[in-house]
Amino acid sequence: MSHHTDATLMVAGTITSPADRDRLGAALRTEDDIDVDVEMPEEAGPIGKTYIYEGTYKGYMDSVLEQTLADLGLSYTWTHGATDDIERKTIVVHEGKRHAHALSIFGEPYLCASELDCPRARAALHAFLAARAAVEALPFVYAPSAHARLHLHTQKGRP
Amino acid sequence: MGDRTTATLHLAGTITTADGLEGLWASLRSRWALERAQMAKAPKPGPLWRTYSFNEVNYGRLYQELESQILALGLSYVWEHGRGHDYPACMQVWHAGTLHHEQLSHAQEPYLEYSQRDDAERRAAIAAFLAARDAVFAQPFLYAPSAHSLLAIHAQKDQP
Repeated sequence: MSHHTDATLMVAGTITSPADRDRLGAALRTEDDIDVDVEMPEEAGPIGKTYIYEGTYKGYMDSVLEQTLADLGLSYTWTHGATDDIERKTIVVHEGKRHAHALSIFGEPYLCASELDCPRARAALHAFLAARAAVEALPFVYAPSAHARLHLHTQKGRP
Repeated sequence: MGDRTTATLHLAGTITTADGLEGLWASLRSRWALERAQMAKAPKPGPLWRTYSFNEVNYGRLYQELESQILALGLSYVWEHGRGHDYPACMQVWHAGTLHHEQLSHAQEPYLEYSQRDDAERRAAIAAFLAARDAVFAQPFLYAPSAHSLLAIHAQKDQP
C-alpha cells in the first residue's frame, strides 16, 4: 500500500486578465515532483481543462492551487484514487460551494448501507451529481476583455 | 498498494466433535494467524468467541483448505479483507450454508452505487447480506464435544 495516488483536475470558468492567467499557470505547476502538462494561451480562446497529477500525497490538492482557483472564481472537479487510508473521492467546487463524495472502485458515487434511506445523504448525493455535471459542461476559457468574451460567445454559437 | 492485504476471520457455531478440530487449529497456526496465544491452548468445552487476523493474504482470498475445515466442522464464519491496488475491501459471510459476498466501502459497509439506486434486487441482496452478517456476529462460538457438555453450557448461559 502507498500514501501516494494520482489525481485529475478539471477546471471550468473564465480567466479575465493576463495576470490571472499567469498566476493560474504557476499554481497549476506548484509542486516540482508533480507531473502536469500546463499550457496557457497567449490569446483569447478555450483552454484545455483537464490536468493529471501523478503521485499526489494522499490525493490532497496543493493549498496554493486551491486558493488560486477560489480567488479566480473558477469551478473545478478534483478526483483522486485510493491510498492505504484514504478512499477514492471527487471534490467539486461549483459557484463557490464545495461538494465531496466517495467513489466506488468503479468510479461511481455510492450510498453506504446505513445511508440508503437517509434523506440527507440522498440529497447530498444529488447535489454532488448536479454540481459535477454543471462543471463538466462548463467551458474553460481565456477572455481578458469584454470584447474577447463577446467574440468567444459568438464563436460558440456557430455550427 | 499491492496484491496482498490483511484479513480477519471470525468463527461462530458449536464444535461438537474433536474430529477435524486439530486440523483447523493447525491450519490457523500455519497461516500465521495473529491470535497465537489463544491457539496454543487446547480448546475446552464452552464459549470460544474467536477472531483471527492475517497478514499478506493474496488478493484477500480465504485459504481454501481452511475454509473446507471450517465447513466440515459445521461452523459459520465472517471473512473480511482490506483492499489491494486493483480490488476493493470485501466481506464474505457463511451462515447456515449460505454464502454472501459483498464489496465494502472504506467505512466497512456494503454500498449501493448511484446507477443501482432503483435496483430492488440489489437492495434486497444488501439487506440479506446484513442480516446474515449480524446473525453470525450474534452467534457464540462454542466447543461442546458431547450433548451433555452442550447442555451444561446452555445451563450456565441461562444462569443469572
